[in-house]
Amino acid sequence: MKQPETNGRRVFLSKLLGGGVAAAGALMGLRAPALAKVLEGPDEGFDPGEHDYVFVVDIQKCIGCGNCVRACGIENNVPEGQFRTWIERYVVTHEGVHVDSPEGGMNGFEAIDPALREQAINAFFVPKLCNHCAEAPCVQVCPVGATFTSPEGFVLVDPEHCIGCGYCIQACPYGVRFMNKERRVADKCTWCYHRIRRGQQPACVTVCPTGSRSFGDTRDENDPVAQILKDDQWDVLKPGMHTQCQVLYVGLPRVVV
Amino acid sequence: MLPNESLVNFIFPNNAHIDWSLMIVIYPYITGLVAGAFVVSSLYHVFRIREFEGIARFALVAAFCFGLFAAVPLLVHLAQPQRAFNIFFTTHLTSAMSVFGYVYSSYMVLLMVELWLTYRDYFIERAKETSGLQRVVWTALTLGVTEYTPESARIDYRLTTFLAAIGIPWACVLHGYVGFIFGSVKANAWWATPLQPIIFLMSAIVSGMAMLCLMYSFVRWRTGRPYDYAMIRKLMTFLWGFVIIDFTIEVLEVFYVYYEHGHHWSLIGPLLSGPLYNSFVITQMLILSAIPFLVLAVVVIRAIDRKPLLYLANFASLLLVLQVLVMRFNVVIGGQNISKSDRGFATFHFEILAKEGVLPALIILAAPFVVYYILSRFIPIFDDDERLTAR
Amino acid sequence: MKPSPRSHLYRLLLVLAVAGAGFVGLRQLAIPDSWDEEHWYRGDALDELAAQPSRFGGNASCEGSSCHEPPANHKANYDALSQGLHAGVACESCHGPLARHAADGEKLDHARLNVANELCLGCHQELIARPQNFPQFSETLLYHELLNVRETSPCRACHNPHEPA
Repeated sequence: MKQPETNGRRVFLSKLLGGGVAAAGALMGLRAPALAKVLEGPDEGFDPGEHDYVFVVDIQKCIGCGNCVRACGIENNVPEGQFRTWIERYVVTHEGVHVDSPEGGMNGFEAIDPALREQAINAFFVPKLCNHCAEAPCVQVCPVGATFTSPEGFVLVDPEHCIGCGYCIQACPYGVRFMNKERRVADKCTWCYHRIRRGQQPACVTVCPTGSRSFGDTRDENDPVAQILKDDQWDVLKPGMHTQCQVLYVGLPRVVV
Repeated sequence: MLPNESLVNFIFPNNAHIDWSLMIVIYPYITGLVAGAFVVSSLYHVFRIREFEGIARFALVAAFCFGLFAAVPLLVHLAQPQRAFNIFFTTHLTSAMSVFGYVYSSYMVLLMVELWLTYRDYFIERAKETSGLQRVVWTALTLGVTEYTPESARIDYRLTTFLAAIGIPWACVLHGYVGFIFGSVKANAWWATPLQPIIFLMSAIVSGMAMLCLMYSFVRWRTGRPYDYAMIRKLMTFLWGFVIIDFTIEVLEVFYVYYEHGHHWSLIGPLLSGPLYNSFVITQMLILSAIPFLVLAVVVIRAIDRKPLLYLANFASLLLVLQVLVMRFNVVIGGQNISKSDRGFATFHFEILAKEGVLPALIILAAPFVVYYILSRFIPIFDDDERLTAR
Repeated sequence: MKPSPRSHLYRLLLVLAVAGAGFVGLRQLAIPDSWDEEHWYRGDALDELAAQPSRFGGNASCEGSSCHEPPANHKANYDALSQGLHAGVACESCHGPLARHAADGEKLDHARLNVANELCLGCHQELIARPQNFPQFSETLLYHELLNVRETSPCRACHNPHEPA
């Protein structure tokens, strides 16, 4: 799933962390001191080469409460009407497929039309987010290197370098990217990179009440996501795109796009 | 009709807004006019099509005027235009878009050098005739070399031919490459086809030739000078040829997708019978392609000459200029009509005054003509220009 | 001596060379210092992105905290929660982002919580797309019917969200 580790990358990062701590320290100084250590400073002992992260979505556990969408919006200051993550509701009938995602599922879902309910042969929720593809089309097409794959395998956007051409938005097969209305740069889910660097979980995972979303390190034997890989019963969205998604879906019905 | 058994028009939440708007429609359009006009000038310089001698210089000036504005829509489109130069500084070579800055600027340098060689004798003449500030400007344009010897003229002629020759593949690269930007996006069923660069290239040549015909006729009419009917006939013959190739490939592309009946057709079928029905099927194909194709066939096969030729040529050219503009629209907007959800279509709304609205687009489209007008005040463009005949 | 017939071309080459050199120089200045030539991104971006403050603190900051008097005592509620049916539901799932709730023994930010039915129904409203085995509110449930419980009846009158049953 992951790109092979290279020594060059690790050497580069240790250099980078050395220089970065000073800058991060300056930023921390602005905040209340005690929690700041945990909440705002990158973890100094963090070695990006030691992890293989995946995000697991268990379709059978999602209740469509919208906690994740709301939390993501708060955590990452996502502008109204744009979504780093969202929830879709599928209702499958013999006549066809009914999909909706009112406000990205931010405020949960209303009961569906009774007539449609009569016809339903299957219904479920599907959370969506950036797949952090190992072969990411968005990284490939960014003309200036503002979208890149971090040493940990996260696909990230450098908001200070992005020119706002929008090519990455076109190239993403999953519609997870958008032009941030307020910052005027390409934006998308980062798997809460800032939280991972501090040893926290992504905000959506933190607030998911049913464990439908989980995030972890497949190199860590004790991490539940390692078991998902062992079981080998997962799917990815649009496998025909061959982008090597690192968001794995458990129990994904075929009808989902 | 909705794709993939969808009961409702479901679009992904982030797809509600169409990001690439009119600026990205007119960007390939103007770039295409550059490539098309340049090809006409090269047809004379390289392929020795004698009929185009009288418009070779005019075509070059026109290509230059369009070229000046080819990158403007992109700049207006960028959300962070002040960082535009990052595309030169940290050029990410895996990106189809990244070398645009280099391809475009090298092409403009080539165009300017060729223009400079063409007009050098005129600059020298003016530098000698004028005085004061004017003289300084004209002398600067000669780079201080104010002798025009027959030997240097011969060298310039050979160099011009050489530049025109490498200009052809370079114009093809410039525009085929614009097609590649779209054709290589696998996430978009309406864009992703290896034929895209060829489609873009052929339509570029069509639009450039047709635009030259319109501009030529307009300028000759306004300045009350005679028309070169033999040239117009020749231009229409070439135009017809390129229209045939262009139209065939465009139809072939859709027909292939239809015949294969694969994943792409599940999206493109509903697209063409839905959001693009009027602008693609009716406007682009039935009206703006079929009619000029027939008109040009009549012009070329029947020996139509003089005024009827002029009117028919301009009628066909006008439709073709619009055809290519509509084609750019159908490609750029049509591709984004398809939501990545594969189960619905986003709607495009025309804006008028917004940054990427109709008005800014019209201003940018008009700008090359304004520059052409200004240039034509200072340099002779046709052989019978009064500045030349007066001498 | 007559000037070379190519002198204008030499001057043109000089102009192009100066422009080219100027561009190359400018480019060298404009590339960010931390640019990673191998993976093609601005190295400093990583730490800048990592500096984004967390709004959700996670359970770690509530766990074991003895703030507040009973019955709102963090520790008591936390312990009760982790043993009941809502085990696994994080504090912030209902209470919202609390990373800035307290620091250095001082309260910085309120944990606002509107304990209306909507909060409970957000998860427990009956919806066809919800997993069958997930508890969903029903007015026709025997117990609810006996007690005449409607969707508008206050859930908290019978259910304690920290120890639901």
